Amino acid sequence: MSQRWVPDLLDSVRRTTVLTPLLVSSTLGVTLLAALLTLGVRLAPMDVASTLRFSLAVTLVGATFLLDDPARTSTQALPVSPARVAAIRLAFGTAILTVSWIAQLLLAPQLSNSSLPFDPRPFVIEAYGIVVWLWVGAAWRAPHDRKGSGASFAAPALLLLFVALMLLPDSVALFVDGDSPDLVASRWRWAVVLLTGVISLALLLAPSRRRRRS
Amino acid sequence: MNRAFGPRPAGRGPTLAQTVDVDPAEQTTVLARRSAVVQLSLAEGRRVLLHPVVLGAVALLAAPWLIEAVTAPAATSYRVLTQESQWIQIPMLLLAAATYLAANLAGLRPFRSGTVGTEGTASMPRWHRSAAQVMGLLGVAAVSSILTVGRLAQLAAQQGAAGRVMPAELLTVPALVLFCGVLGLVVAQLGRTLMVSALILALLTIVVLLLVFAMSDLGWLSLVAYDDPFSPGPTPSELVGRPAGWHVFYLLSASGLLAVVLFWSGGLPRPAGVTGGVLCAALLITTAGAQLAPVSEELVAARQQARTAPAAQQICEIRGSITYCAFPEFDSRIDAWDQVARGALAAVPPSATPHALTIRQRLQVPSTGGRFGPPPLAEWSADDLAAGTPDTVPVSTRWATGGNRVSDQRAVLDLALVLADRLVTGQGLAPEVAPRCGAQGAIVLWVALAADPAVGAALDTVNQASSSSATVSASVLDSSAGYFIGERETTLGTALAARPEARDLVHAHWDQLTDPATSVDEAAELLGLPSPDPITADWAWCR
Repeated sequence: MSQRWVPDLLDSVRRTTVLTPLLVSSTLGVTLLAALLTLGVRLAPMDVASTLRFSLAVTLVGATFLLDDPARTSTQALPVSPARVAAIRLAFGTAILTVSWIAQLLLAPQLSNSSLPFDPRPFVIEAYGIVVWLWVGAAWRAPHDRKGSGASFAAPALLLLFVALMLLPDSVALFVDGDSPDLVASRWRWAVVLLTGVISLALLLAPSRRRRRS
Repeated sequence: MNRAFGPRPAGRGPTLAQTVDVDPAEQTTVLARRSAVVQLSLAEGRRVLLHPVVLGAVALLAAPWLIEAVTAPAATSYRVLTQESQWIQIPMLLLAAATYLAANLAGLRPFRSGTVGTEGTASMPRWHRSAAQVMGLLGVAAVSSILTVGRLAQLAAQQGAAGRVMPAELLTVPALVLFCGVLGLVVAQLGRTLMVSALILALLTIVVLLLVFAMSDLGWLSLVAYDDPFSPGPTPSELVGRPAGWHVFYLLSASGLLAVVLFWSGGLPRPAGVTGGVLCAALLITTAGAQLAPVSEELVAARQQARTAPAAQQICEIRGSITYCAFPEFDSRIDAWDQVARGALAAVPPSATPHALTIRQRLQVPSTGGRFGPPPLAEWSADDLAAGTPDTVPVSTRWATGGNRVSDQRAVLDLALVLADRLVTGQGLAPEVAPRCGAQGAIVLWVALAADPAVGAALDTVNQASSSSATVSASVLDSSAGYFIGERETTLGTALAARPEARDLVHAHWDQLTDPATSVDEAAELLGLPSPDPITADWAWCR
């Protein structure tokens, strides 16, 4: 099968994807850490981890709009399934999020006032573990919303989700410090969160394809 | 309606319309509109209050407090209410953010449902509906007040609560909830999409966070001010001097100004809009300026006196041979200090017990250039002599006997170690860290641990948060003064504390064990304990 239509499809989906909020919030997330560095703020490793998570929360505000489809009536007419369109949108969003998140992970260690280096690598998975569930929420809400927007659910959910994660008891904690003995176990918990999120998202997006074929 | 606007019974005086000489029909319309606004505000208030994000925020705030109260009440004991009144504003920002989102979604309703184009046909002007939405926010502001007062009441009811509830700090919470709600409505009206609203919330989060971290006076122009007079520790409420009252008016006038902008965009008559706008702007500028005014010289002097010569500001209570002097708001701590002090005195032989001892509460010592500052020992000594209580033992304004507040539990360990060192070595506090090596170090640690089970629990908590649990170090009042007990001494002291017959053994060999020349190995032999492993490191304070 010819692949010449792929660039056209990608371009078409890109133009109908709400990327501006994610671009803005990604910039804001990086700006927060850069501003703290510029102000000369230096923090204990525990506070660096909290600040990194704050900047992540700011970044993810824009991600909640990714599955909103202002051109729903047009994209429904595309010769590809809505699930595939959504997958392309998610790929665009993941790419932008990744660039911003890498920048934040590189800036965070500079904020540490400790002689021990702050290792940002264990924090990598947290962004993806959270964002996938925000997209699950948005994908679940969108069909019930008058304008097909899942962000009206996902944006408020982001606020509550972050605080709920902070309040989890130690035995099931997801937000742990970089030097915590529970760090490795919590990363496994994050892996479960990410995996179940990906499966849930796939299940939520798949029925629309079946409906389309029927 | 009939009851409200119907004809009045004879003999009850003139009707409202007759009194102000206004057309009764027009008067009825005005009153009916007011009634409609009130009814609408109740409906809008209920919608905001029952919005899932607000309910979720309330649950996330209240649940940990309730769980803590039931499962770990010790974690909430010994709180300083003056500090808590300020600190509660930080978690309540969650409810403020939730209110922003809920109000914003309410404001976006006409845009999201596509009814914005038909609003002109409604009998009620748009600014009346906006006014109802603003009034509806009072409900969630009231809930935030109930949560705040409930939490402070819970902390005040616990053992050892000190300080004073600061009403202006508590009023800041509903004021900032109201401000965020009105901001959400204004952003909805002007931005017209959730996208803009969410990004403005993200931006607001960044501004608040930067101002909190910057810890500058400009924080007062933000939502919550983290200008922290409690650093490096709790102080009596009269020394706090935060312009919290002005901050409440600042937030209210900012909310008022935003409301005028909202009403103006909804058709508020020009004279009312201009008058309200000018009034709120004037109030905003005045209160902003008042917040940023420097602290008075009298307060600076009073703070300095409290640090260096607190005797005149304190009350003293004599219990047997021990005198306890505390700032009046902290006298609830005397029972806890007494428990540790009596335990320490009981651990040493009667011959080593002083005839009189004074424990005096002192404020934490501020750091200098990022390092522990020197304690004002000369000023303390002069103040003690003038008060007739020489050689006092310092105790912090911090205290905790449970939970994970490391710096507060460190105060328990500090008091026990200072007391133990006084009883074992007979020496007072030195300006620098004093290493306690040999048998003397082990006995100092044992006396401290034998004083009260809370001391051992505090040591465990401190060790968990520390990179090295093999030694014990204490920085008294966060100053350069303190004690260091070496690794072998710590091993012997903790092993001794685990033995029930330790007291008799120590009393039998007291003179040898407290002799600075006695080594750890000799002490271990006297006490019938295995000698701790030798130190292998190239350098150690105690070998």
